Amino acid sequence: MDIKKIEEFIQLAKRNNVTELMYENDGLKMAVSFEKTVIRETVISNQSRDQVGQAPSHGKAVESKPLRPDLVEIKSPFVGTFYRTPSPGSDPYVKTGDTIRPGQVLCIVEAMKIMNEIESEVAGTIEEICIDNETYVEFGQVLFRIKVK
Amino acid sequence: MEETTTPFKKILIANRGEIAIRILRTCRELGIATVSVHSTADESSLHVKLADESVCIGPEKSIHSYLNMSAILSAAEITGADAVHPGFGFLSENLEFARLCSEWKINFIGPSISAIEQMGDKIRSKEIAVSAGVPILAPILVKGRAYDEIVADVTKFGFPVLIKSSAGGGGRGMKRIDKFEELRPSLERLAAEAKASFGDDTLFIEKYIERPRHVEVQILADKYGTTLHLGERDCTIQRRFQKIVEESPCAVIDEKTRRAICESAVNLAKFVNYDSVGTVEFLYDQDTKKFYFMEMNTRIQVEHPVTEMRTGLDLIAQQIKVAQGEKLELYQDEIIFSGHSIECRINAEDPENGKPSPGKIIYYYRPAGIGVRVDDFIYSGYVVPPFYDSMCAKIITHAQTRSECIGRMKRALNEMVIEGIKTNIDLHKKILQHSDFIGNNYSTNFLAKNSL
Repeated sequence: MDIKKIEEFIQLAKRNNVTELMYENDGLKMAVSFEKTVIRETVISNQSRDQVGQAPSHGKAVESKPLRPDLVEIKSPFVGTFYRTPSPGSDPYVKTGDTIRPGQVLCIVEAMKIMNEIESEVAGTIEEICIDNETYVEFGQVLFRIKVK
Repeated sequence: MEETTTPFKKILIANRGEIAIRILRTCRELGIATVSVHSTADESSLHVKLADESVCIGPEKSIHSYLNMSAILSAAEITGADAVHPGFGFLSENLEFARLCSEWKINFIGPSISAIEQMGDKIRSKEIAVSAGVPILAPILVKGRAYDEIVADVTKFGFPVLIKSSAGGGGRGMKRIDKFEELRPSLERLAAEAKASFGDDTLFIEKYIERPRHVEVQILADKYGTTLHLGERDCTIQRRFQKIVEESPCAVIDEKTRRAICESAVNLAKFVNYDSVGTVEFLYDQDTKKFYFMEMNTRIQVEHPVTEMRTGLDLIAQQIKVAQGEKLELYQDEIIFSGHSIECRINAEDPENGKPSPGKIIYYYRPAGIGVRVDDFIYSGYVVPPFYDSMCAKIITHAQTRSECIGRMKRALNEMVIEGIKTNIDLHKKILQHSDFIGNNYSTNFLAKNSL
C-alpha cells in the first residue's frame, strides 16, 4: 500500500470531522483516531479490532497504578461495607507489613447485614491496605495489595 | 384515603441502556439525585457517566449483576438511595425483588406487591380478567390432565392452536400446532424447554387467531383509586414475538372498539387496585373485531414514548409521583390525544439472521428535526457488550397523521448512521415502505410472511 492512500484516508477522516475511522478490506486494516488536537495515526495490518484503542472512560476512578509483577490484588467480591476489624474497637485482622498465609481472613465485607469474611488466596506480606475502615466498596474494588512470597 | 406523600431524594436505577438514561433524565428534571449501578462490562456505558453516583455491582453476566438482588440493595444502602426504579426487563416484574425492597425499607417504583402477584402469573391473571369481566381466549390446561382430555378440548377449538408456557414470555416457549401428530411431541418438548429455561413446566393451549393485531392499553393509576387509560398502542410488527415497530393510535379499530378495549383495561387495573403505570395487552381479531386479554405488564414498557408523544405526559415522572404517594391531578376527559406516533427499535443485530451484533461503534449519527425523538445510550467509540439485550436506540416520530408520521420516520431512518456494528435500520426502512404496512393490511405474521 502506498503512503498516498494512507494520507487520503486521514484526510477523509479529518474532512468529515470524525474522532475515529476504520477501514478493512482483504486483510488490510487502516484506522485513524483523533484526540483533542493531538493526532494519532496508526496503520494496522491483520490485527484484531480490539487493539485499536478504547474510548476514554469517564466512569469512576479506575485503578491506574501499574501493578508490579510481585504484587497480588485482593478485590471485593461484593458491594458493601469494608471492615478491618472483627467487631468495633477490636484489633484489625491485618496491618501493613504483616505476613499472611493462604486462607487467612483479611477483612469483612458486609452486604445485606451479612458479614462476609474475605480470605487471602496467597502467602506473602501486606504491602498496602487500599480502603479505609467502615467505608463502602464496589464489586471488584481493590482492597489489599499483597507482596507474594 | 388521605394523601400521604414521601418525596424521594435519591433514586437508584436498577437497569442499564437507554431506559436507565430515560429514567435518569426525568429524575434530573424532578430534582431527584440518581445512582447508577453497572456490571464490569458497562464501566464506560453512558448511564454510568450521566448519573450523580455509580456503583459497580458485579461481573458481566446479568445473573451476577443486574439480576443480583442483594448487590442492588447493598448499593442502595451504601449510597443512601430511598427508592429503586427497576426500568423494564431484569428485576422489573420480579415479585421477590419487590418484596425484598419493602423488607429493606426501600421504595420500589412500581405497583403494589399484591398487583404484581395477581398479574405476574399468566394463568392466574386470566382468571382474574374473567372475574373482572374482561374477555379472554379460554385456555386448555395441560398439566396433570390425561392426553385424551386435552385432545377432546383441542378438537372443540379446532386447529390451529397455540401452545404456551406459563412462565415464558417475549415469544419464548410458544408453538403453533396445525395437526394432532404435532401435538404430543411439541407438548413434551416445550415442557422440557420450559422446565430448563424458567424452572416451571406448566403449559396451556389456546385457539390460534389467524389475523391478530397486538393492541395494548397504557394504564396510569395512583394509590387512591384513580385509574386512567392513556390510549392504545398497536405493536403488531414483531419478529419472533419480539416487538420492533409500535404505533399509536391503532389504525384498524373503530371508535366503539377503542372505547371498549380501553375500558376493559381500566376495569382490570381497578380490579387489582393497580397503583402505577402498567400495560394491559390484548389480541385483536381483525376478522371478528373481538379482542382478548393476554397479559398485563406491571412496569414501564419499551414503547411508552409513543404514548408520551400523543398525550404530552412524562410517564416516568407520573410513575415516580404516584410511587411517592401523590394523587393524580388528572381526569380521563382531560387527557387529549394528539396526532400519530411511531417508534422503531434499533437493534444491534445481523439483518441476515437476527442474531446480536455486538462490537465497537465507530461512528454514530443521531437523527433530529421536527417531530423526531431518539432515546438511546450509544455514542461514537462505544463498545456494545455481548452480554445484554441488543436494543441500542429507539426513534420515535410524531406527526398529525399516520401517513405524515411514516414519512417522518423514513426520513429519520435515512439520517441515522451507525457504523462498526450491524443493525436493523434497513429492515425498518423496508417495513415502512411496504404496501401492506402503509395500507394497514397485516397481522402479527407480517415479518414471517414477507421475508424483508
